[in-house]
Amino acid sequence: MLFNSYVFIFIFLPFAVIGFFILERNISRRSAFMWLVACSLFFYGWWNPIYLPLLLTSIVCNYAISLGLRHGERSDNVLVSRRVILFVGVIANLLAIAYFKYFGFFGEVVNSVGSFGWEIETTILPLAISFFTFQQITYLVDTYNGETGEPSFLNYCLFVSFFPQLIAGPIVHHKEMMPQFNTLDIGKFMSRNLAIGITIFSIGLFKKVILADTVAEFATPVFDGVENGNTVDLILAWQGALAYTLQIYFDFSGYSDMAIGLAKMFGITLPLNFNSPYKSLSIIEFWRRWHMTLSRFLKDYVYIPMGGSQKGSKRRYVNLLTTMLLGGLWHGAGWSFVIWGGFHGTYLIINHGWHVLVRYFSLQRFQEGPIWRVAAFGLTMTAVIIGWVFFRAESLGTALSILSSMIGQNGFVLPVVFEPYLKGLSGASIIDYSHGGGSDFIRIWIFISGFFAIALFLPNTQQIMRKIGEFNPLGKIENHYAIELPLRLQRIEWNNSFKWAFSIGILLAASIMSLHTNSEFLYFQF
Amino acid sequence: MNRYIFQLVATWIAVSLICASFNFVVDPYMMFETKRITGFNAKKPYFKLQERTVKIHQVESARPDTLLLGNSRIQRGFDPELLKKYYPNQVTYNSAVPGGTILESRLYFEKAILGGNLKRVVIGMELEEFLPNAQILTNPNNLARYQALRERVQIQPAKSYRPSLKIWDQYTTLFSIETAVHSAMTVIRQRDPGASNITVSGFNDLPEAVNEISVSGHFEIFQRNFSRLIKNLKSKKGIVVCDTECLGNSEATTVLRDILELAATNNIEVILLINPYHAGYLELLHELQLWQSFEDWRYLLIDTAERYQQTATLWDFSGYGPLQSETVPPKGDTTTRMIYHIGPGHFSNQLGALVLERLFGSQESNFGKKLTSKSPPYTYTTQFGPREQYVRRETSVNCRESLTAALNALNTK
Repeated sequence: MLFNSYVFIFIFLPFAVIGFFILERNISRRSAFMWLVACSLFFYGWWNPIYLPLLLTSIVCNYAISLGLRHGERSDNVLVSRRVILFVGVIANLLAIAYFKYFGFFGEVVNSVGSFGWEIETTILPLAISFFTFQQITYLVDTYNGETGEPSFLNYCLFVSFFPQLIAGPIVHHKEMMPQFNTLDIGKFMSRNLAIGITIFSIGLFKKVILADTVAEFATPVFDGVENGNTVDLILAWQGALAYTLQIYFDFSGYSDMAIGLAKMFGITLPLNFNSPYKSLSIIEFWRRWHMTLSRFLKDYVYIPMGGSQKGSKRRYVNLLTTMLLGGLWHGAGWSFVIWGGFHGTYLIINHGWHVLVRYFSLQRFQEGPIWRVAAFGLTMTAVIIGWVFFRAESLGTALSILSSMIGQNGFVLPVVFEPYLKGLSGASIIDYSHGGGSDFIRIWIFISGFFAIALFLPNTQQIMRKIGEFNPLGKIENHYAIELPLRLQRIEWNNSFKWAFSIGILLAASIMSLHTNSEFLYFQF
Repeated sequence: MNRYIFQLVATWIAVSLICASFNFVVDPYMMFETKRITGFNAKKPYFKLQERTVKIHQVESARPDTLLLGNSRIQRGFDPELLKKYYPNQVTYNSAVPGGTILESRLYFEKAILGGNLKRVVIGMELEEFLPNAQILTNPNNLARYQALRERVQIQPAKSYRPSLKIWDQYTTLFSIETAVHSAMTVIRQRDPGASNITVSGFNDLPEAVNEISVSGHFEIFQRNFSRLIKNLKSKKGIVVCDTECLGNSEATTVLRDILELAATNNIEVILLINPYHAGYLELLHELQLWQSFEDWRYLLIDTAERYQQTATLWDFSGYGPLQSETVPPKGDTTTRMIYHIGPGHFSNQLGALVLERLFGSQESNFGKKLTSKSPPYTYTTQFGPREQYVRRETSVNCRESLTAALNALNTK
């Protein structure tokens, strides 16, 4: 069941919300949570019920292991050491994900290296396995470190299966979720939570079905065309790359907003996942703004355990590259993802190296100038876009073909309507002209420019919702990247006025009237 | 906060209803058959975006006596209103769609039978669909369109028909932002001479093509269409020459037999039509070494039609006669209009009228032949004689030039 589907919006969601509040008010919090877990499992099973037992087994086993870890912490009389229990727990989780997600890929790699001729059956990837597996690994590790409380099985089930975040994150941490289950006064703020939740959900839905799905129409034909053996010219290649850059941002950021809004309807606060990443002036900043919960997971559970930056600069760079390669692999079992991760690891190393140089030569004062900022933005975006080409392409050949087109290796074609305007330009002879397509060309580039303007110049959801006080559903933002809104944009600030109800009502109407296509979220495949 | 939620939901409902009302009144895809008002919504430039879906519903509700099936050649070539001359009190519906395949034709045919009035059907036949690995049948876009149509058609058994899909299509058209944009554009484009004007009986009167001619000229259109035809006639392995047996094993042949069987069962007359292609199309077949395949294909069609001779006939309007070998204007000429042809495959409504006259009116004409197993071989009647004369004629130069340009462009790629 997709968030952007009629069945979810008009049947499942009202049913889940109303049932939850009726049970919470009239029976008990516990029964309301049981209802929410049941709804979440139904939501998961809607796609393919076959994998529901896998999710349930994963929840039961991990909870049992966490009990074992906690028991070992309290008692000296244990058969197996806690370290062994943790090891078994983590390995079991990794084996499950390795089988379902990476078995085919590594089998092919081994086959190609050793020419064994193994026939590897393809397994269907269970939805959200990357999300719920890693969420539970972190829980086990933190239980081992004595950092978790003693949640009931029901609360643990809800922590893992809570439907707004189950399929594609944000990757929640038990420290963010478990305390809320016990302390929230859900009934008291029902209408306020609903109002805030519907508002954030509507903004997210608009990002997905209006912005992401529109711009997808400009990216998909380019990548599919190249995958089928065609070549594209410079303009088309950039169209595909830029459109995908926008698509993945609005798609995933829209999904995250929808998840946060849905959770808020039940009075639960999910962590922030996006903070206008394309406004970044460096790759380091980009990774603090993009898929923030994944970055946090990689930092806390991969990079720091490997030693982080504590074992010298060389080791730090090795750790960075390894972390990002694993981050790439987390997204999918394919060379494109590995290369994408490798690129970002390399970018981060260069970025950290650059910081060393800046400090060494005392160049800090230049970094505040507008030229520097524009150059830094341009360089960061170019690096990010190149990365997205690998991320989107279904094969290495497709990515390289598009990148070579982006640097002009396969010509430069414009609609013939531009010919009269470009005749006077020196070097215009390198341009070929195609018949027709002028109006489409203009429409596509107006959309791409307009959508970039939205991503770069308008406030993001948490900036719009910044004054909802103690009910801020969007968690903390690191101070360094705290909301800095230009004065002219400070008027764009949500409150419960008619103006906002009207505006969000229009967004919601436009979004719901665009649901027919029912396109999946890009991050569902991870 | 309750007030905020109420205002938000009220806005959502109000905006949705306003949009739906606007979409219903303008009806840009003819989904609701709302009254057409000149200067407001009479022209339907965005009809083509939903043409398949709308026609699959209309082909039943129109309850046609005569049905025209095929691709854009039939859609743009035959105005059903012209059949009123031969069948004054009968309804004709043109359910041909651009890029339509024989697979889709079968679906429209099945749906039209449900109307209960169908007496005859004219089907445009295309060699490219019968060639092995024909990309036109296997390409994912065409397959996806076919699947979407199939869901909207009664497939045996009869009870499997789901009328709810029509309601669903109407709902998604009504409550749609995309439709609202097209509704607004439909109103704006009423004075646009290039805006297409589909008739209630499914005929597209081609103002877009007229527009295209005035921008590019016939020569360019011929060249572009030749390129497209070459792509369609090629399989992934290149040009595959195919004899009667290999053509007979194609999926298209199976589907054609299904159609003829269904027609015979329902006592519906079928006219299979080899289109009045421009002579340049036949020249293209020569260039691609597909001439023998074309001849074998004709034999296959003759044989198939004769198996159902009680209800089926085959007519051939291709050749090198004066109507098919109309002069193509030279490169760069954007003012001269051809009367009978738009490109090598597409013909005008005027030529379509002559075809209909030959089929349903006067039987005395050299244009078009009814083919039977007794008909002389095509090569004999066409290649030796009329073709040699055509090739030698000064008037064929432009057409051959555009064909050569298309072949060269593809070879250099």
